[in-house]
Amino acid sequence: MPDTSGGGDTARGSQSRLYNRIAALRADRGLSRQELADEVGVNYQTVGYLERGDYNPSLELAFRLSEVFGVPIDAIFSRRPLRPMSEALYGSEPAAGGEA
Amino acid sequence: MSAARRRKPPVFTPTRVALGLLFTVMALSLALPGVAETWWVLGYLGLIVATAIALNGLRREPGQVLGRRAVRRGLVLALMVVCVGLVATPPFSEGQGPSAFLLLFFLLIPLNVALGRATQRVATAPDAFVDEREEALRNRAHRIAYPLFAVVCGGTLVAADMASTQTRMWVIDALIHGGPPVALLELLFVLPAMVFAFLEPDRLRPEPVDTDLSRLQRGRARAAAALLGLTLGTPVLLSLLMLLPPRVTAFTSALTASPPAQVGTSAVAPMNCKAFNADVVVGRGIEASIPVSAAACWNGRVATESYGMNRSDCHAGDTLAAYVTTLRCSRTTDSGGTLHFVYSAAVASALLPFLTQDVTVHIVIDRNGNVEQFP
Repeated sequence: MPDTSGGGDTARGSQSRLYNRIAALRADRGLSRQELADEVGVNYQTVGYLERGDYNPSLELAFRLSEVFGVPIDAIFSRRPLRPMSEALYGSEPAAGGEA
Repeated sequence: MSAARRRKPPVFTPTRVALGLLFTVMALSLALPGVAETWWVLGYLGLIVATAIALNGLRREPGQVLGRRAVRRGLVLALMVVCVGLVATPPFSEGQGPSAFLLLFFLLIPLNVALGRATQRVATAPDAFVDEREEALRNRAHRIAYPLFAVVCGGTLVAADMASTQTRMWVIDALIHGGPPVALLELLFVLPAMVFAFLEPDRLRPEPVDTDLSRLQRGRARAAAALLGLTLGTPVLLSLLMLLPPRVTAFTSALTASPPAQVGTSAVAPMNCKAFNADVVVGRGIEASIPVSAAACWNGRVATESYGMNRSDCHAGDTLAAYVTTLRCSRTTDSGGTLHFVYSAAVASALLPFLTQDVTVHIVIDRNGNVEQFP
């Protein structure tokens, strides 16, 4: 049963599992966990738990992450396993030598 | 901790209030007679304050060891064992002394410090200092802790109250004299942190930070660790100093006025009397004094006690964190008329009760007033 106190949820069980691309987006922007944590106003450990899928964020935190990365929330979080970024950008067959 | 919630820290946080109360109690206790005269107590209180400030100024990062859930769960288990030990400690009224209680009590201190560091004190942190994940986990810990507290403590009390007359008497005695009240307070205030430590998953390793800042942090951490070691080590060192030879102050003086002749002595023989004053001090800082203040009289046939050589006169003087147990207190007069008085006591540190030193004071005076042994 999800614990809704405080807005977020410590992920327990497969039903509440939320997949995310935070680690990839953070690496893409060259941010450390601490820097991202400072941007969104949480402890850097919380960023780690988010990346590991040990914690599901509140809607407010999800929006803040979306604003920081400049992408829609559904590009960061999904109820289903996310495809790799390259596959999402270039389709199933990456284009050879060209830009999308 | 979000941008919207990030605000100026409150002036009266629970930690500051607790520290304020602690310092008030310390200041009041210093006003007690005798305490302020002990210089090292003042110095030690200063050391505690410096250590608290140094520890408080550190970046609260539990590090790689305390960040592991298995270690935190071990810490929680150790705290539970100490609490059980406190409950099982015989009450002071049974005459076994509070040594075991003191040991367990002092064991609680480093364990609680470690628990506070492992949980970054999130369990008691105000909302302004936690983010949403920590707040959710903190609330969950509190929701679990207090029903657990009610079941464990209430259940124990109810079971003991209903089981038998002896257990009921144990409850009454233990709640007044023994360790259970400390265990009760420990669980009341620390159980949420224990649940928090038990629940929180493994923490991430700290990321590399700015080199200069890191060097500064390391320096401060070393200084704080040194102060903590000094704070914890000082009582141990002072306890060890109890094994040094005792300091003895002794002098005799002639009594100007002779007391009345004692029973069994000749009424015609004039009595001469002498006062014996001695103070044997064991230890430095943690110490106890064995005072002797007595007088003996003689008349050429026999030496007799005037005062200060009775069983009720064998008692400890000033003690500080030490226990004195009387081993022997006897006064005899041999066939030659020589008076023998022996006061023997064992002095033990209250912190390390296995460190003891036996002290014996002798007064031997013959029938002619010759002092053969003193102290």
